[in-house]
Amino acid sequence: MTEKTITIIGGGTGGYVAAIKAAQLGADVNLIEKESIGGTCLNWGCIPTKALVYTAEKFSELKKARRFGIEVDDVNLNMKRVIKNKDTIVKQLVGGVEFLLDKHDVKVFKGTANLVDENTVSVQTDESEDIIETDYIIIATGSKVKKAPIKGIEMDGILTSKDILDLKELPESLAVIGGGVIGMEFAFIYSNLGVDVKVVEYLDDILPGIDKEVTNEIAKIAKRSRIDVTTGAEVKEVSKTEKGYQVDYLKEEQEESLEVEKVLVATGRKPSFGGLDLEKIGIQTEDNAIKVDEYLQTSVNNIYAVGDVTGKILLAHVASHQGITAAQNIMGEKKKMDYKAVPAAIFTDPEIATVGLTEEEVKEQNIDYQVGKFPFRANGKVKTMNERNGFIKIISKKDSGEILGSSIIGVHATDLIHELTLAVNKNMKIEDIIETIHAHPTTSEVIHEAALDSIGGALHYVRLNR
Amino acid sequence: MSDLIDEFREKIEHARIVHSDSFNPWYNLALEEYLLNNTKKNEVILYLWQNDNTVVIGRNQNAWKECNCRLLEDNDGKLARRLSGGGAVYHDLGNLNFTFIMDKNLYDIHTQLEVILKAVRDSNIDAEFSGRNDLVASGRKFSGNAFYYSTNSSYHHGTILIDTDFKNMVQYLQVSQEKIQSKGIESVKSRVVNLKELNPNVSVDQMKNELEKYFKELYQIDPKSQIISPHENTEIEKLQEKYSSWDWRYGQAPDFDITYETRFDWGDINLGLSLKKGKIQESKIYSDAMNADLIENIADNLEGCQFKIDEVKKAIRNVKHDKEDQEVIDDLVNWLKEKRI
Repeated sequence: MTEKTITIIGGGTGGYVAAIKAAQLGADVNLIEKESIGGTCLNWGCIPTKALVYTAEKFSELKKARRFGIEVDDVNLNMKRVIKNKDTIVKQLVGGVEFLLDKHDVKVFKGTANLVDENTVSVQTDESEDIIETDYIIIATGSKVKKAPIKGIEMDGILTSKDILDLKELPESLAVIGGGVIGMEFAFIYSNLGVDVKVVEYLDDILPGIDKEVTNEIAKIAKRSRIDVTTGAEVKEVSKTEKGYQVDYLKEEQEESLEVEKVLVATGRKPSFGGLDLEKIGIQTEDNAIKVDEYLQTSVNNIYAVGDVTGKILLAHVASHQGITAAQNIMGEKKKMDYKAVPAAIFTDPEIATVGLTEEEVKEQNIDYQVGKFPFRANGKVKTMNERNGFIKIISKKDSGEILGSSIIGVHATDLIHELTLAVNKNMKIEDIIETIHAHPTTSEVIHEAALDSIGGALHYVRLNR
Repeated sequence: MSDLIDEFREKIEHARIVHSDSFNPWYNLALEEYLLNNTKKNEVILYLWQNDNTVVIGRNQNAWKECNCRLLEDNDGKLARRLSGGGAVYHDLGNLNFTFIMDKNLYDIHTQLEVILKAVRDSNIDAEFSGRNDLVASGRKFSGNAFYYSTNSSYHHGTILIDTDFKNMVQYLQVSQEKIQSKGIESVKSRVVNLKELNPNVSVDQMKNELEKYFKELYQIDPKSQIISPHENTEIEKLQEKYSSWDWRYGQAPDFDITYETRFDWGDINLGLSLKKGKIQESKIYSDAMNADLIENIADNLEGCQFKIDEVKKAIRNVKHDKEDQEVIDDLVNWLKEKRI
């Protein structure tokens, strides 16, 4: 039997993971990337921001080192080195992925892909054009920055989440337009680096879609960290001033404005088709995303789509899971994509992590539920870290104890969410967690305690209002 | 690199050297595709061929834009479209084409290029690979290369300019003066050189021998060379039908918009056509001098019409019009006749 040839357009998290998986399953794989392997996540998203998060946290911790008994004089920041460190990390990871692709015999084409017909793809560079015949195509062209229609937002000097990663001089002050995940992560990074940060969010809450108690908590913490958050505010115009920029917004029908040195636009991302002529081949779109079924097949039989371009959930780990699933389906397995248990990780300070349904969502769906809660400050390991903020919340069905979702805000919350992700994915019950021994002293004990709290009470905390 | 070469030398199970004795590009490209489709597992083929008075455009190109087809066809030349991508090239009997066709596992760009470079260097010409798809000598290009990856086999083909008529090359590859907007790839002009100019002893036959020699040497194989002539094989004939068809040569152009503008005694006109698969999908006419009904009727008649001058002429002539508009109709037809349609 001859090998199946799969051509993947886009070398981001969705595309390169699909490439490796497909190669492992015996396909002959071509991968086309026009910029840098690793896509947004590795080059201009998850990874570089986490490099900055880590620097910012360390910097802010060093300033508080005295309480651990460490005397440090003169803590200084060298932004050029901070950016260089970030670039080194990105370069190493991209190199690592390139190595993996090579070892799996994935043929990588650098250039812009075009669809000639449903079995033919061309790759164009400045100087040449390669034509590839293929049995299957996976479109993984990702997403791009979505700028809200605000006057002046296209001005030179207004930063996007990509531009700000290369800022080698810290501004004195920064306005962040948009209090979503990207906006809040940068707000905490820059605040921890000592910048005066002001966030303006259109909706009534920051981090839309996240459990309300959690967003209230992070809003309180933001305030204590001197991040100025204004919600329910519609930005009308950004204009240049002598020292920087002025942001005019409308809050409760009052015109207000703030002045800052730099402005970051973080009003979301939207699917990008990478210039592909989808219509020509008959690939249908829906809400500006490529329409796929639960097997990730598009309206054209031999063409699949994965990642942000499908507009499902714009997260790297969803893209990679879709990539695995699409590769499996092309290679003859029948795997459905299920979005029930997708964890979300937000790198504010402290971190936030969620999975499954929020309390607001179960209420809306009229599910009879119970909440188990536990504060981080009652955990021994958290204490040793001199931390105190945050809590965990587990939502489960009242009758069966089936775990429906969880939200965690607290130190290293993103590392804790996976026990609950497994629980939600496999329909496990509160009892299952209670019966599982959790190591002491670790932060994971908060999960055990919250499970206990759901049905009878935590061991190391008493709810005064119960 | 030498390890890699050794590794796949061992893999080679079949090897062929194929010549075409036809100078017809449609046959030669059909034979090339036939060889590609029938490549055996672990087989490598060197195919040598020549086209006379031919413009070959890339897979994603627009013939109307890249080639002065009218002039070419008036001079008994042929327009052809190849499977591979890239820009338009002119072939005559002073040019030799080579194609390396292989099981895709045996694809190795370095070895393939080495065959060409060694063959040329044997004539004391300092040839080198420049960038991704050109071979140059004394800073000028003598060989353009293109690559095609099918699902089981691949090919790498290219031209070798030995004694080509550059005057013809320039006049046939003249880019259209009309405003054309399309997604296809545009040809890039390069400074070119004939190998004969660098060494008068170089000839097509001598180059063929050199290529065969180094193909055998570098791949460590010793196949006999073989000629495949037209009418030997129905599969090739079928493919030749495709390569000679209007639909493939012209109709395969990526969708494009073309605008024609001029001034007649009776006024200005701007004719905008949107083309899909060589057919006029939409036509828009702007003219302050013509009456609105006539404009609308011409536009309506052009829609759905194939982008061939005879069809276009017919569509305009068939427009219902008053006697006083006859001059307009005649002017339009005579004007478009001069265009590359």
